Amino acid sequence: MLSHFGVVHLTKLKYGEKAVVTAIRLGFNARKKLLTYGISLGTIVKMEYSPSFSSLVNINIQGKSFCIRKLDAKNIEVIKYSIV
Amino acid sequence: MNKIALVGKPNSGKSSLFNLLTGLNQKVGNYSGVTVEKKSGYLNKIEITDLPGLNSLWADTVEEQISQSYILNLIHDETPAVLVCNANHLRDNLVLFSEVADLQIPMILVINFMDELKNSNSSIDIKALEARLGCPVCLMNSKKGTGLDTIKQLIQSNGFKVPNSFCRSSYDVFSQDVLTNKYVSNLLTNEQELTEDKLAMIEKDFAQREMLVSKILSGGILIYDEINDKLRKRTSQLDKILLHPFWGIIIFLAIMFLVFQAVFSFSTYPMDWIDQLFAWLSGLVNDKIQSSWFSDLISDGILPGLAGVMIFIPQIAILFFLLGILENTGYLSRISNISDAFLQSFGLSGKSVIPLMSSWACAIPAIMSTRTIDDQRERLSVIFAAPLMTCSARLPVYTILIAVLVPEEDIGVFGLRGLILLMLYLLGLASTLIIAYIVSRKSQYKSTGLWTLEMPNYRSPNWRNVFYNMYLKTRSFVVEAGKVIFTISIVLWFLATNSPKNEAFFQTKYQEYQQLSSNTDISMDAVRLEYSYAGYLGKIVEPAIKPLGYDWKIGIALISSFAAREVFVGTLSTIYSVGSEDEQPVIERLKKEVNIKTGLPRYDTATNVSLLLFYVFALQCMSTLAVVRKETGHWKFAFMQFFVFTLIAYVFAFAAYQIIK
Repeated sequence: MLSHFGVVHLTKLKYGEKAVVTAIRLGFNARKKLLTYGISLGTIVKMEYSPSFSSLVNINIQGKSFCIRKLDAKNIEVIKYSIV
Repeated sequence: MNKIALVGKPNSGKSSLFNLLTGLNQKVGNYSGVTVEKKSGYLNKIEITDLPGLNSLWADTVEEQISQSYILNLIHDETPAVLVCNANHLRDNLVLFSEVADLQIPMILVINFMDELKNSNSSIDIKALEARLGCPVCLMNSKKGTGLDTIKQLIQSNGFKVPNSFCRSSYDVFSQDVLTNKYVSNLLTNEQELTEDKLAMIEKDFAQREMLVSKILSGGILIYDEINDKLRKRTSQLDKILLHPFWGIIIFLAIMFLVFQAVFSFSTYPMDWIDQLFAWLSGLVNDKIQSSWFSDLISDGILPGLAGVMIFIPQIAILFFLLGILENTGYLSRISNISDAFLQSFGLSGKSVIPLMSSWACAIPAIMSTRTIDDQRERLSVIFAAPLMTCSARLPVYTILIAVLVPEEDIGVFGLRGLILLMLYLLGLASTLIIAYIVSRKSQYKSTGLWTLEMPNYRSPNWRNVFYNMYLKTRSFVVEAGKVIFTISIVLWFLATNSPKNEAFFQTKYQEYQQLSSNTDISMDAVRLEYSYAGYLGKIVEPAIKPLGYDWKIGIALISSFAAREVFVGTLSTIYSVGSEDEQPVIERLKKEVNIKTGLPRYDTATNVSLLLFYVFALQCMSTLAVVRKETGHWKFAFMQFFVFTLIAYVFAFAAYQIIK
C-alpha cells in the first residue's frame, strides 16, 4: 500500500540509497531518542548495511553511522531521495 | 575556579582528554545510588570530572540523566565546562554545544580528531568559529596529545567564556510583569510527562538548533569533503567484510577465540607465578617465624587471602587490555552488531556477548565488563546469569569427577570424558541463556525502548587509553572486591584450622583411626580438619546434603570450596590424606573410597552426577559475589543470586541422585 505513493519502510532501502523520513510510528520516548541521534521528519538518511540475517539496520545521518533494530525501523517510513 | 566538568557525546574523545589532563591521578567510583562510573582527577589543584557521554541534554538513559543533572548544577556552582567535539561529526556535536551554551555556563570547545579531518581534505576555520560561538575553541589530536598545552593553559588561566545564546529566548515567558526563562524546567521533563505537545516542542527545539548550527558553519567555516572522506570510505569497505553474513561471523568467531584463549591461556603463567610467589612467602614465614597461631595466621590465612585476590589480576588485566583494543578500534560495536540477532531471543542484545564469552574464563572480569551495556535491565540479567557459564575454576572439579565417573574410552573419534565435559559446557551455556531470559522478563527495570548502537569509524587504538583503562579496572577490583575476598578467606582459614578440641584429643582420635583402618593412611591433618569448626559445619550440613548423596567429608569440601571452586580438589586431598594436590592420586583415592554402611563405592555414578550438576549451577565463588555487590551497589542482589543458584543446584543434584540411585 505504502509503495503506491513511493513511501517505504526504512528496512526496504538498499545499500547506499538515500531517503527522507516522512513518518515515525513509534512511542514518544523512542521518537525523542531518535531526535537526539538527529532523526526527525524531513531528515535525510542513508542506508549503510542491512543484511537479511541481521536483526539490525545500519544507517548514516550526516556522516554519523549507527544501528537500530529492524523491528523499530519498520515503523519509520521514508521516501527515496535522489538529486538528478 | 577549583573544578571543571568534561562534557561530550559518546566517542568524542572526552575520556582521552581526561586521561591526558589528569594522568594516573584519577579516582574511579560510582554516582550515588547508581552503578554509573564516576571519574574525577586533578590538573594541579583543579578537580576535573569526566561526565558520562550524552547525546543531548534532553536526557534518555541513566548515564545521560546523570550528566544532565550534573551539568544543570554547574549553573549554581558557577563551574565551567569543557565540551569535547568529534571533528568528523562537528555539525551533530555542535547541537549539543548549543544546548549547554544556552545554560550560560563559561565554556571552552575542544575539537578532537583534527588529524582525521585533515586526512579527508576537510577543514575548519577556527578563528571565525570562535567569533561566532563566543567562546575559545581549541583543536586537539588526542592520540598524539597535539593541542594539549593550549587547552591546559586556557583551563589554568580560567580562559572560559560564556558562549553566545542559541535558542534561549524561545523559552522566555512573560507573566505578571516578570520575564521567566523556562529552558531548564523544560529540560527536566521526565519520561512519564512526555506528551505529544512536549515532543513537538523538543522537535522544534532541535530543528531550530540544527538550523542555527548550519548557519554558523556556513560561509566556509566548515569545509567537509564527503566524496574524499577516506576514513568513512575505509570503514564502509571494512564493514563489507567484517559484517558479512559468512566472513563476518568467521572473523568474529576467530577474534573471540583469540580473546578467550588469551584470557584463559596467557594468564596461566602469571597466575602460576603469583601462586608460587605466595607459596614461597608462606614457606619463608614458616621458616623464619617460630610456629605459633600468629605465623599460621600469616602463612595460612593472610598470604593465601592476598593470593586469592592477586591471582585474578592477570585475567582481569588481559581481558580489559583486549577489550580496550576492541573498543578503541571500533570493532566492539561490530561484535554487538553480529551477535544481536541470536541474543535478542533471550531478552539480551549484542552488547552482552563479550561479558558472556569472558565468563568462560572467569565470571569476575566478565561481570566487571558489563559496564559497556547501557540498558540497566539487560546489564542486571547478564550479571545474574553470567556465573552459570563454565569458568576455568570449574575445570579441576569436572576433570576429577569425570575421571572417577567414566573410564578413558573413545566413542568413534571422540573421547568419552571429553564428550561429557562438552555436555557440561553446553549445559552451562543453555542455563545461562534461560536464566538471563527469565530475569530479563521479570526485571523491575523498564527497557530503554529504542535500542541503538553507534558504529564509530575504524581507527588504530589509542594505547594510552587502553593501558589507563586496564590499570584503573584492575585497581578497582583489587581495592574494592579484594577487601571482601580477603576477609572471607581469613574467616574460612579460621574455620578450617581452629577447633573446640585440644591436641590430646587429636592424638587419641588419630590412634583410634589407625587401629580401626589399618589399610588406610590417615594423617593428623585429616583428623584436625575433621574436628575443626569447618569439620563440625560439614557434619551439621550432612542431613541437608544426604539426599544429594553426599557425606560430611564432601560437606567440608563444599564449604571450603566457597573460597574458590578449585579448592574442592585440595580439600578432598587433605580429607583423604593423599598428601598431594595432583589430580591422579586424588582420582585413585576417590575410586577406592567405600561407603561404610553399604560397602559400595562412595563416589558411585549417582553421587558423581549429582556433584557435577551441583557444581554446574551452584555459585561456589565468594569473589564473584564480592564483584556482584561492587557492580550492583548492594548485597541484596548478590545474596539473591547465591540463594537462587544454590536452590537450582540442590534441586538438580537431588533429582539426579534420586533417579540414578
